[in-house]
Amino acid sequence: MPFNITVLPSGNAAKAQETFLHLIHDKPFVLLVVMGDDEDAEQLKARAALVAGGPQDLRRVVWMKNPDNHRQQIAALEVGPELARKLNGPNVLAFTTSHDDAICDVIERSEAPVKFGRIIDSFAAGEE
Amino acid sequence: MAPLLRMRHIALAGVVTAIACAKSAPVATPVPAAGPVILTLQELDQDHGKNVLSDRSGIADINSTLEIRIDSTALRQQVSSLVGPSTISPAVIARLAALQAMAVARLDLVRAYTESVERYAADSNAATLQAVQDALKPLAKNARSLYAATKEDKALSDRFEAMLESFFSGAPAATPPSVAQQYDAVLAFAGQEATAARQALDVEAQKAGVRIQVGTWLSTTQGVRPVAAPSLNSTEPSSPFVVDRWSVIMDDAQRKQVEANAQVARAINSDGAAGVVKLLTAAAKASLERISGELRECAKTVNDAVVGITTNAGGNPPTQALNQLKTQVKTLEKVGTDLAALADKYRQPATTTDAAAFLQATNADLGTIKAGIETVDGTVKQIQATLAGVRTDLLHGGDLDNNASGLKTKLKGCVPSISEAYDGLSAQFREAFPSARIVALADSAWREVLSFDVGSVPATATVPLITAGPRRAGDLVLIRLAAVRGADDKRQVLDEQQVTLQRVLPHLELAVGLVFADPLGSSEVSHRFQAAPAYSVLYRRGSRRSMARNSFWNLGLGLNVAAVDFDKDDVPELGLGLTASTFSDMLNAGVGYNVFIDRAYWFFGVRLPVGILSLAGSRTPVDDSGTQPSQ
Repeated sequence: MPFNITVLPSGNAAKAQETFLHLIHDKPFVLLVVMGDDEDAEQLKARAALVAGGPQDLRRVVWMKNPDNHRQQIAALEVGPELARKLNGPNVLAFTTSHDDAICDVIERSEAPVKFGRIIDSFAAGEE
Repeated sequence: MAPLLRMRHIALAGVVTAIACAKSAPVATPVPAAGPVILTLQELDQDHGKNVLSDRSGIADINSTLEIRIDSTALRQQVSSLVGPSTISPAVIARLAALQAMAVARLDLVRAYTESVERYAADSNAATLQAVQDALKPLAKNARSLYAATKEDKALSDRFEAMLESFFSGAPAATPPSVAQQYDAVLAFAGQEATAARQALDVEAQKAGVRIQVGTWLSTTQGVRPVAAPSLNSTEPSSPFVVDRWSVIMDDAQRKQVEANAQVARAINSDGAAGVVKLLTAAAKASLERISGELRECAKTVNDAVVGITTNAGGNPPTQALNQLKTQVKTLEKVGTDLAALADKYRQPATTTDAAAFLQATNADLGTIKAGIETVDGTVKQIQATLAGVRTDLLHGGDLDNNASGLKTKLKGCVPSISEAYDGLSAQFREAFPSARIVALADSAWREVLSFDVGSVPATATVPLITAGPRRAGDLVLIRLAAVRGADDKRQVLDEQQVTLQRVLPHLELAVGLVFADPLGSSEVSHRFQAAPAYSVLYRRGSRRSMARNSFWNLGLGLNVAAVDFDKDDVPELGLGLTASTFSDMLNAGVGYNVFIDRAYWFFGVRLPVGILSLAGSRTPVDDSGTQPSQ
């Protein structure tokens, strides 16, 4: 697994939550959090890892295979009304958190297969 | 009412009328075509100061050089609307400047980010982290702007994704391209798109026959004339004409005003307001009679031409042209008659002894005269057009010889001659009608303006105002950029800027007027105030922001020299004083000292806003003939 991807264990909710919490609040990263364990998620995760850059860059990809483990954690994050609507809908594929730990972008499944331009834009939303 | 009390009323009426006549600020010029600003101006003044004219109707010093900057990107954006259906997407055209700016900033932004990341890697703390985040912001903003453009244009999106696929393809997951490399590639792509769009727009504009012109003109009270801007037009530069900042020498007109003021002062001191009214009446009558006489002479010349053409035509007269000429003669005669009637009014003793009412009535008469002169100007042009349509075989004999060249020459002299008399009647009146805002320019005004392809329009040009010929404060410089599509198409103004010329830099002005001196105690003067001709040398500086300050309430401080006569021996004594002047020199006041009889005095002064007798004072002149005041 590339160095810039963190896979949250789907079978150990406590461990997954602890890891996610650590990445969100303790690390200065812009996180692109891929949700689900299907082909779209797999493909997005692989592409996002390329866009996340090198070890010195402050971008990371989080693969949240079982989003149900993190519903409360996600709900606790700061998010605008428009993105919240998308985030709470059935089609969410990924979201991005900014340096300030706020959700700044949501990628929906209707956008799959997600192109590089869209992934760059999503990371950039967290860096802007 | 005591004579001197009446004079105070005259002064008050003068100031009130002056306020009414004060120059109004030109109306702000809107951008002619909606879209990005193409023209920006910077003023380089004589003191090596640089001032950007941020308003579209700015103020610049009268002796400065205007540097015109032409934004080639904004120009292309505007031109794209003239070209018609384009191969370049509106999303790219709308963001052309932003895309170019990304390419320009690319290296600096990427370097700043790279360096910040290295510092953070070497020493991870809050400050170095903040530096990284700060460096990322502009990169991210630009990338998002580009991505927004791709969402509006599928072709652009396809090119962008193809570039990114190529960029990331083959990159091993263990060592993906860094964020710096990614942003570098994204911004480089933006630059390539902008360059390609510019080139494509240039080709399309050329195919559509679009040509660009940037004209520069000076609008004075004498009319509008082109101004030389070497890279933009073929207009010959005028001989250098610098409005002298430190000249305190009177010109002929001011010397005449001093003489006139001396007469007025004598009239005031002997007969008060009644004396002044009598003097003004006589002067007005003389001027009006001159104008009326000139006009009737012109009408007679045209009438002779009508007779000549009728005779030459024999049994086949050009009825339509002759009827037109007869109507035009009647118009000239009517204006002449009206002005003669006005002169008759001044032939009689003044109908009112109320000085304020007299001044107001006189001012209204000046308006009537101006309207008459405008009618004459229009009629003379109509006559010339009518003559141009007359068969050449009918134009012989006397003034009709050589295609009526003699008649045309006389007509040409008609209006200037009358205007000259009018100017003598009211130098002040001209100030009440400042240089007009230029709304429309005839096609002929563009004759000397060079024409460029969109891609070859100069990025900058300079307009040295000292080669613009005679000019005075309040004149306007117009810079207008227009496009023409094809030979027969109407010229379309894409952008323009107007600059009002003022004496902004510190300078001296010489103001001629009347003072009313109070000798502060006993003297041979029978009234409290004695009128005396005077002039002031005033130190002033103008404003680049306030038109009102320049044209009206700009305060001047300086020396006042008055020819007082406190011992009433009819030999003027020299009075020297310190003065402050404001309201366009309509009002000044100060303290002085009579050198010969060793007496201090205080005074106030006025510049009456009626020009009869050239009574009104004037500030340091800029001779419209182009002659500099003698040094």
